[in-house]
Amino acid sequence: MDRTLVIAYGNPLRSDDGVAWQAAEELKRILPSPAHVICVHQLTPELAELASGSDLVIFVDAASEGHPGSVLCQRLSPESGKFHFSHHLTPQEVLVMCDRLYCAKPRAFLVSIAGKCFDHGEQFTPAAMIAIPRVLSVVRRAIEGGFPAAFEDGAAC
Amino acid sequence: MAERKTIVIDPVTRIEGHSKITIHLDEQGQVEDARFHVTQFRGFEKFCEGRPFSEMPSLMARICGICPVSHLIASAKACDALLAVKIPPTAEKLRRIFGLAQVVQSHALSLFHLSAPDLLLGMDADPAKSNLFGLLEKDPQLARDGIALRKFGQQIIERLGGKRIHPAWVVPGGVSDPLRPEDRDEILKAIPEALTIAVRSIAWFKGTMEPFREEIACFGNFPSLFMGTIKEDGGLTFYDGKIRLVDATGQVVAEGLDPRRYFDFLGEKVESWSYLKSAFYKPKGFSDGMYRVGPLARLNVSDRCGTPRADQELAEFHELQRTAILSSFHYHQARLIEILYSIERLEQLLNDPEILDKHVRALARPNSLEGVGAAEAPRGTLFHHYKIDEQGLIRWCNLIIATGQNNLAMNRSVLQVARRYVKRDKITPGMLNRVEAVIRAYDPCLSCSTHALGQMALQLQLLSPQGAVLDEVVRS
Repeated sequence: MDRTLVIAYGNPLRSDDGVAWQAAEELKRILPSPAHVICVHQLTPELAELASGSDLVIFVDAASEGHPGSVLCQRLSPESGKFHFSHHLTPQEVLVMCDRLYCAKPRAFLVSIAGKCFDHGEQFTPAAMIAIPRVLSVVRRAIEGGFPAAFEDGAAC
Repeated sequence: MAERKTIVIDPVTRIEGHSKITIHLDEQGQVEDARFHVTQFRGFEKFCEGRPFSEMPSLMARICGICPVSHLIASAKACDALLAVKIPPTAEKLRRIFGLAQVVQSHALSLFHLSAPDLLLGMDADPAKSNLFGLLEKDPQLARDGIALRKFGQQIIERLGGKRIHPAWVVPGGVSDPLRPEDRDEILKAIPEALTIAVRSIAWFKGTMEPFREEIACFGNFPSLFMGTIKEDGGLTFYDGKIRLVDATGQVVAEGLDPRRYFDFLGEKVESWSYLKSAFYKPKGFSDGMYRVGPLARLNVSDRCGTPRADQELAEFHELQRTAILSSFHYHQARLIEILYSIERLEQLLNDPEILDKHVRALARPNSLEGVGAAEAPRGTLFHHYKIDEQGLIRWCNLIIATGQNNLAMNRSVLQVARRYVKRDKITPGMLNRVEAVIRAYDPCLSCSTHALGQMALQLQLLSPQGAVLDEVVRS
């Protein structure tokens, strides 16, 4: 079975920004044991090393754009581009580091949950909560059979 | 006559927090003044008022995502003073381990992720490439080493504190849980590789210095005082000890100062153009009392490290200059020596026969209404000072953060670099990058250091295109 790493990121003290953490708690409960699920506030260079030991990396994030509650799936690759590093990285930048530093190119997806409220708080809006089951479904299908065939790159799920 | 001009670098990149630099040119295009403005505000000193003192370590850890452990330790020590307890010896050793792990990860972030692009690619490198990705293209091994050292420190923090960022394991009276044998063994297993990387990194750094002779000469290279905490034998310490100050010649100005009486010898001043207060050594007054803290200052005030490899490196470091080592460029090398020391010291502490002892917390109710806690954070000496009421609620809080203590020196450094490199006739990215790079050498953490509320004047100026003040609102 593929070694799978799920990286849920966001700020759990900023309402819907932390919805990926909530999804991660569910994923820890339902995913088979080879899957490793972690929660972080932001993406940092150390994650590149962790990702290099995986066959499949799934990033789960909250998005400020899009219809609240919608879930967007996107295939990722370590493409060259214009990169900057200050305090955090994008998923693509983590993959570039994974490739250049550790010669590893795991398959990777980004699952984004469009949030509605990003104010201070630990509660999620109903729209964000409703999206969680769809996130679980997408992640499970990705682990079972690659990129979910029903979803085009960048398409809403 | 030519007009006066102001060059603004906003934001300053590759540092922790938000700031800008202004460089003021006179009519001849020469640098007249330069300032490092901290533009963010946090306010922790004020909004913790009314909270139970027992919450303070966890609240204070939220000040910073890079060095939460230092705030935890200083805050817990202030709370120990409120309880008026002596914490169990094993708890103290565990706190030391926690703090040293943070030194490794924080210094690695500063050097490898933020400053190494300047050192490896050069100060004149294309700004678009002068970042972590430029670094990994040029020297992947160095980038991997930086990641490995960060991971080493973070994993220790996670093993002890339960999480990498904002752990709450350090509590008033000690720590909340003892060290598990399996965690001790796993950390010890990782030490040989971390040591190898630290030694390799120091060798790399020493090999890179030659092209930077000009920068070394003007990156904060001026006389000042240096302050740090030392052990009774003059050795380097991050947890506990007495304060020593040396002057630019390396002579001791003051020693044996009790950090719990910091207010007797340190003062703070507010400037209208920055949210960062400026600390100074009181006996010499504001400005003349400018002092530096952090890795360079600690190595300037320390007679020894107390671990074999770090002591060798310290002896060589002290050979750089017969007096105190003045150039702030050398903060980088000092940081690496402290990483090496921290790894060696971690090994010593983890092999201590008492380290797995289960008695790690002293329990008590408040026995004092005032307490001060001090520790050496990665960036320098850190003070937490609390006053509580009879119910144990915080009534007053003062934080003196390393970055504020370096504020006067950072401003002087910016001016020195600007005068050397910035000329009106031609402004290049490399010149401006050097102005930023000297700030990076101090590794300021602005999130940590901007908390005074009610003392900060608000000054709003409406300026004409020629710079004339058309209107002004001042709220003191």
